[in-house]
Amino acid sequence: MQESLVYENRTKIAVAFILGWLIPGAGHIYLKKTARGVIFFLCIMALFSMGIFLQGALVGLDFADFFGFLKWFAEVGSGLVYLVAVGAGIGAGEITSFTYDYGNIFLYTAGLLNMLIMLDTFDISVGRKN
Amino acid sequence: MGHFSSLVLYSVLVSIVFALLTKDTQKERALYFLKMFAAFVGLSILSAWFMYLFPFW
Repeated sequence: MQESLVYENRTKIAVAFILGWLIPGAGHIYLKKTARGVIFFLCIMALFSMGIFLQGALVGLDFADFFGFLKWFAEVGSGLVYLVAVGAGIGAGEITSFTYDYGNIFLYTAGLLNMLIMLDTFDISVGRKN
Repeated sequence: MGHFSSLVLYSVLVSIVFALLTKDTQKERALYFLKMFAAFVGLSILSAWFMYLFPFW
């Protein structure tokens, strides 16, 4: 039997989802899962900050390069912090640094994990998960 | 930051997020965190030693 989901409050679902993208963990805080949201925020910010600290590169959107697009897609998942960092010219990346690849992995992981966290807010919003 | 400290920090942060996402009770989360962290670090060290057998590749 197919699971029936409650989509009654679409605004709440959308707000939690978008907040969760803009500020990691904010979607959970909006859904009154404060402790979980704060921990998510700290973990994603730590991953992103370490990525920058380890000389990882923030890439811009480039449809001509498929792998470049995938990198951008992974990094943009971090939300506002990615946009602010790119706007401020942070994250140029230092390819000669031995931590360059580590930095990139931290940055990709921060964005991709935040996408999973956003999906979690969706599950909580529709009552599939507590 | 060295290779190993980067690995440990990465493993801690990712394991925390996955434990919170996939488990519901504190006990389950703690156990899942420990297992995932141990798997990250343990398998990385095993892989490193395995690669040590092939120094010219």
